[in-house]
Amino acid sequence: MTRTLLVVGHGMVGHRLVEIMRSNDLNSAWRVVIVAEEARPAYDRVELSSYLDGKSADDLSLVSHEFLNDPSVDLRLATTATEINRGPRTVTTADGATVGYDALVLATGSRPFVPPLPGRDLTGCFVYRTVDDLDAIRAAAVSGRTGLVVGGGLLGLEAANGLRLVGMRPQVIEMAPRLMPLQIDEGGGEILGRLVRDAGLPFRCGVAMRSIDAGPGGEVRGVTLTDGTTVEADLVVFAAGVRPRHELADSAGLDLGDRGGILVDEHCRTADKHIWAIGDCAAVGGRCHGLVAPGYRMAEVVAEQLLGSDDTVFSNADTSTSLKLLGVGVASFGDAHAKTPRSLELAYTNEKAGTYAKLVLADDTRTLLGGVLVGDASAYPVLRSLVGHQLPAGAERLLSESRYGVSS
Amino acid sequence: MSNVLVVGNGPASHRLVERLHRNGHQGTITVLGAETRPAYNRLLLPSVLRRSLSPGAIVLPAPPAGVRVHQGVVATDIDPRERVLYATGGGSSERRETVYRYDELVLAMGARPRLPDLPGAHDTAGRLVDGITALRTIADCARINGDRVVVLGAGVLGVETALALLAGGHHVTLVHPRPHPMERELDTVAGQLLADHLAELGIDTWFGRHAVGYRPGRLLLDDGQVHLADTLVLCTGVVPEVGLARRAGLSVRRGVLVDDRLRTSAEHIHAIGDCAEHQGEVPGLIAPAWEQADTLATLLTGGHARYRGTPRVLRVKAPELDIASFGSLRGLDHSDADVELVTLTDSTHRRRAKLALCDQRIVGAVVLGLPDAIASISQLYDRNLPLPSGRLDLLLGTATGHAAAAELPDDAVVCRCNNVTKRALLHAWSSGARRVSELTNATRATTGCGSCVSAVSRLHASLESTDRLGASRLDRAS
Amino acid sequence: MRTKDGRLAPTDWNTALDTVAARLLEIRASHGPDGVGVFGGGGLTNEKCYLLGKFARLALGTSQIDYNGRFCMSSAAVAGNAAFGIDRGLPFPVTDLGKADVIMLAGANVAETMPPLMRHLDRADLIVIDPRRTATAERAAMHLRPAPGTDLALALGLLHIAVTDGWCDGDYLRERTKGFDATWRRAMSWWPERVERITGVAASAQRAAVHMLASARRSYVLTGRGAEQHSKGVDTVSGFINLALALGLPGRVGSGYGCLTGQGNGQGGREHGQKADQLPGYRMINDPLAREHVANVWGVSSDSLPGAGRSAYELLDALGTPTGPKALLVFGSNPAVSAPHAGHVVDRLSCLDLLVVADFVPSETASMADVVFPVTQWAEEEGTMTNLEGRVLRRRRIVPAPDQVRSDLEVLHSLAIRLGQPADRFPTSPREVFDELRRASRGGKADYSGISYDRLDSGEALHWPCPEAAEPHPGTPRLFLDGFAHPDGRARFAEVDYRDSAEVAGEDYPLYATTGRVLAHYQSGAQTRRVAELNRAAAEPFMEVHPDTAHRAGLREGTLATVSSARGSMVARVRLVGTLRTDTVFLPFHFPGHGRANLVTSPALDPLSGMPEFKVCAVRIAPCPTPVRDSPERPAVAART
Repeated sequence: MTRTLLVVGHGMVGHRLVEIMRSNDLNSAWRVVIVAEEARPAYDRVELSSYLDGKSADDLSLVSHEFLNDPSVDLRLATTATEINRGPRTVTTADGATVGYDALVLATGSRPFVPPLPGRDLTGCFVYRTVDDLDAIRAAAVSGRTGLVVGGGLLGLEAANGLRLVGMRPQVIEMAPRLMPLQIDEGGGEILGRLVRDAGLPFRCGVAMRSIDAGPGGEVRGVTLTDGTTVEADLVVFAAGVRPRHELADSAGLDLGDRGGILVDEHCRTADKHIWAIGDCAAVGGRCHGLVAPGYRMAEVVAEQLLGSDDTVFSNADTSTSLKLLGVGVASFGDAHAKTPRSLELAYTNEKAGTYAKLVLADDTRTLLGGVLVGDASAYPVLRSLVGHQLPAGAERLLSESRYGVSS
Repeated sequence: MSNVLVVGNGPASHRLVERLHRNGHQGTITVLGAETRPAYNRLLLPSVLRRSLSPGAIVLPAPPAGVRVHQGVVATDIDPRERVLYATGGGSSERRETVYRYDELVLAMGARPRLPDLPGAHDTAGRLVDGITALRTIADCARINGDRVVVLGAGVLGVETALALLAGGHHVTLVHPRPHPMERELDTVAGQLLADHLAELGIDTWFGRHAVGYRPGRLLLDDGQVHLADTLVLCTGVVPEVGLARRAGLSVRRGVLVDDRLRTSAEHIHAIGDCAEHQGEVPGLIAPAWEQADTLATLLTGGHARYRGTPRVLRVKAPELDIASFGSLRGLDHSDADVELVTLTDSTHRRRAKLALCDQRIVGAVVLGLPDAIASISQLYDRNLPLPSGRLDLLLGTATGHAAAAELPDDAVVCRCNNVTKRALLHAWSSGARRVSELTNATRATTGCGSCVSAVSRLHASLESTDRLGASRLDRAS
Repeated sequence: MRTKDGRLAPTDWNTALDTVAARLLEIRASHGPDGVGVFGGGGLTNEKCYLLGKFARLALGTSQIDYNGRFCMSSAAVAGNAAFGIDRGLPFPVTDLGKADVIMLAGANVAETMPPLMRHLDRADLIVIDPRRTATAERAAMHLRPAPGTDLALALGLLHIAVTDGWCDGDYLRERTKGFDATWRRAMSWWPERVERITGVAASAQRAAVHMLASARRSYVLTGRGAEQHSKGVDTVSGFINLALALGLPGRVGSGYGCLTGQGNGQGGREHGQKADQLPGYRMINDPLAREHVANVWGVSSDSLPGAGRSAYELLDALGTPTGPKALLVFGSNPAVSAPHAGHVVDRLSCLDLLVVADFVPSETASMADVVFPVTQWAEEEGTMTNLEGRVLRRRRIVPAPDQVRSDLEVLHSLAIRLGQPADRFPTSPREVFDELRRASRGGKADYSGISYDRLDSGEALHWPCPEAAEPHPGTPRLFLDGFAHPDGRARFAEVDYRDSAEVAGEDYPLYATTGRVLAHYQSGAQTRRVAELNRAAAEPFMEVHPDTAHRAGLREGTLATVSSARGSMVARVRLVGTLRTDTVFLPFHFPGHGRANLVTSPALDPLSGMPEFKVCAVRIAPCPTPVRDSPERPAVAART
């Protein structure tokens, strides 16, 4: 008998789950219904900024023609789920429809965090999450004028790059003492800061926003910082992190993590054995992961269970990150901040080349625990794959070969 | 044939005399020493404090036959024009002035301790009161009495002294005005690790505290604390001994100025060791003093030599600690654009290295707790050799095998997105996938984020070369 | 014998011997007795060494005799004699090492160069001192890796630590030694942190090594070629002997100092008079009493014995020069490959009026000879050898020698007669020669007079000194237990100080080359390179180099490199060795032609022992531009059949 899998949310992770189900459910045991809030099928949010760099929404789409025509997949776009009815195992949508499920997977993702500042709702304030957000930013952009980005993390630098692509002059405000504080350590932050500045992106660290100030027409005119200085800006983009979207689960009486997110076990299952949560909205063992790679891993874990095996559990989330921003390669992987007890750190700083590379090693001095690369992240794939392993002889050359031409 | 007169009977003077003799110096050699004992090796005073050597055991080898050494003689004046030197002491009539003629005069008076302006530390004549001593001579060592010793100043000598006294069975308190010891040699991280280490060894350490007064048996600090001190040992630096040179009208800045031939501003007068200033440097270390002695001995015996400075290496001499600093700390702290920094931080084991490299050569370094690294870096630094590419092995003193291409373990995940291990790629290879595209088709590697493309290519290249090697072996075997 | 057209062609013995004798007489007539030189070998039996020395002094009347052992153990010999009054490799049976707790090996790669000894070292923790991570170092509990040429600084530092850390044996120093105070006043200035800067061995590792050595119940210090083959080889060995003395090791059961031999008869080879300055019984040729005794045994007047001659390299360097020998007889040695600055040595050999080589393989030196005498080898002859523990071993014939092959003794006998010597002065029977050797050695340091073929053949283990006595003397397995061989019974400290090697790496030659042996080959390789299996194991000259150093020089694994010094260049295959110091390359010296490591080595000699500085010279490395093919200096000698 065919059972129904209801997936709420058609972001990257929700889509990955359905893809796995469709390719591995060889007996078509499951019919899949997807309830998607956005009017677009899943697209590549990681590459979102390329939408401002000439790519179309279709280019970003993760969904193939075959998928859309798959008779076993019922994709309901622009449909918001409003309520879970755990007794009868149905979900009600905003259009009044009710969808029954044998298994419900919540992949509702996250929303941008907008700090509670005076002026946060003024015209000219934006977030940076969806294609629609980008359309709005593009429409509001004034070429040559300053666009201020709140947040100097991964997303903030993306957004700054996005503003530049639409002709504005971005400037970044980061509360922490350095850019990308979650991924990059102090030494890497110094080099990154220099490279970002050299790339023409002004930023200020160690200072927070006090207010967003309105012009005569009620539109954004600038911001005031906690140190009292003001910055003129025509546009403000909030990129200060995301918060899990757990409301649907919350109102259905499912437990949340201490710091938000739908609480699930290592199988990504809620206390309700028919309901799972994956991706940004899930708090696996209480911890949320705001990156796509762990989300994919969760999708795999859930798919395996639906297909009859529960051997795999979600563990050891890979929070590795590698990106090229403003021409600057940055990577962070494993225990980048050397939090493991008795770990040691080996760092290379080359001011002239503008590179920083750090390895975090276990106290056996050989096992790689993590690292940070700034300026040249070409060693990232190999190093990341070595995390948890003994560094092979000559591994350090990966860090220096591009600089010294020492080939092995 | 010339008569050489050397003022000072310390290690620099001793070395000079030996080298003059070895180089076949013709003429007399006369040495005037202010102390009433033969030349000894000042650097080993900490070993005396440790009680591992007796004072007699640090006496240097007797000078070569024919060398006249006058002990207890204090040079008072020089007449450069007449080439004579006036001195007192030596023998029974201490006040008697003796005149020494010379053809070549060498000033090797060394340095004297710099004494802090500590209320209560001096008597009306300006001498240190009983219970306080500097540490420069064997006689100073004998002044250290009692169980509780306070060492003031945590520079290199202060740290060595504190450790030696601790090993010698004293209860040791170390007071230093800066936030961490040896701040001229160590960066903040290393300095803090050293501070922790000294405390753990059992030294009562007080950093960031100034001594403000002394009363018999007690040292007062600026925060109001009073430390019991049966003896207070002052390790608050040294100043070059330049009084004689000044009186004789020689050019003096911090030390007696000398050129590359160790010549002072007066003809036939030379200076070496702690009292000499060359190119703005008064090194205060034994290695430059010896090198200067060697150079001068060559010059005075008709050879050609120039003193061009000595690579600055500071190494703490204590079995409890491995600390070294190379070059200048400035290069480390304000790294100019051409410098690459390599740092290793292992707070758990109090190990720290910070190397500043230029063209792969060390321009400055601080190393703490890494003995093999110190040993290797000394050699690389002294000879200006490039660092090996395996810096981790260099720093940790671990031996490498063949430093070949990074060999991944078989179960290493090469493509994270699709969870493709190296083993899977190897399997695909052995199943006939010979091109990169075939490998990726078979395993889905690189089809995710694509960040592993280079890793897969590298593996592919290594498989190809191994294959070729295997094939050529077969050729040879057949 | 070399033909008119320059080939070596077989001839009959009489022709060859007559020719050689006639030429020798001619040369002696025109240049005096010192116009003829003799070069011996440490692989010859005791009987051959003895008779060769006698032949040189009596039949040739020349002072110009020395041997390749000068390149081997001469530094330890001088240092050992000075310290203990006697030079015997191990003054204790080798089996004592099997009970040791800690053994310090200074410059000895036993695992490769003397593998059978390793089984005696199994039990002990080894402290290996070697710039390279050798096979022996791999098995060590502690490996100290000094820069080439700095072992003496390390030895001084270890002594310094022994004193400051309280490991010295005060009673022993007072009662059994002399000269400690002056020695300490030199070592005093070699505190461990200073030694660290010179040697690259961490101060803490130095302390740990001394601690390990001194706190063990049974510990030994052994030196090898790595300590000896320097222009300060004697001082370096003395430095290690000083350490052993300070710790009270020598002259006691269960501890001691020893020197490891390098050649088959390395010990015996230096006792019987083939050294430039010695007569049989380890007697000094300048000692009137020694001359009297030996002259008496030989039945000549002591006035007729020549004095001391040149040491090995000096002898080779003088060949064909106005004041040097014009003819050279070589027995059991291959200096064209094994001598330092070998290119120059080949030039010197080429300048000779007459070069005669007695060997059982066509060595590179033989290929240059005017006459080659094919002589017997180990399985074809009788004789004795003396091993590193001073124990005399019998060599027995187990296969008959091929036709047309004669023993060295027969060659010497035949030549001596032709040079006008009485026939009975040069016996050809090894037993007869040995019996004469016994008489000649009687009363000397190495006294063999109580040792006979009969006693040895009955299975007795006899270590010299073994004087003849009414009751058969049991030999002396352990020397020095009651006292050292100086008149006052005390061992002597040597007041040594560090000095740089003759060559210091600099801009033109930035690297150090150090030479040594590999498992598969023996010495100049003249014998082992003829064995297919060994040749497969190590077929061609190679250079071990750190990958970084190779990379900087543009060299990769398996490529050919030119290694150049101020004296010459050699070509070797690159082997990358990650454990090597980046400033050092290693060259095995077994290979001929362009692969001779000794083309680059330095002829700087130790002023006391005459030992060349094989272990360190300054070189540079570069890719070898064109493939090199060896063309022999002269046509190769026909292989013996």
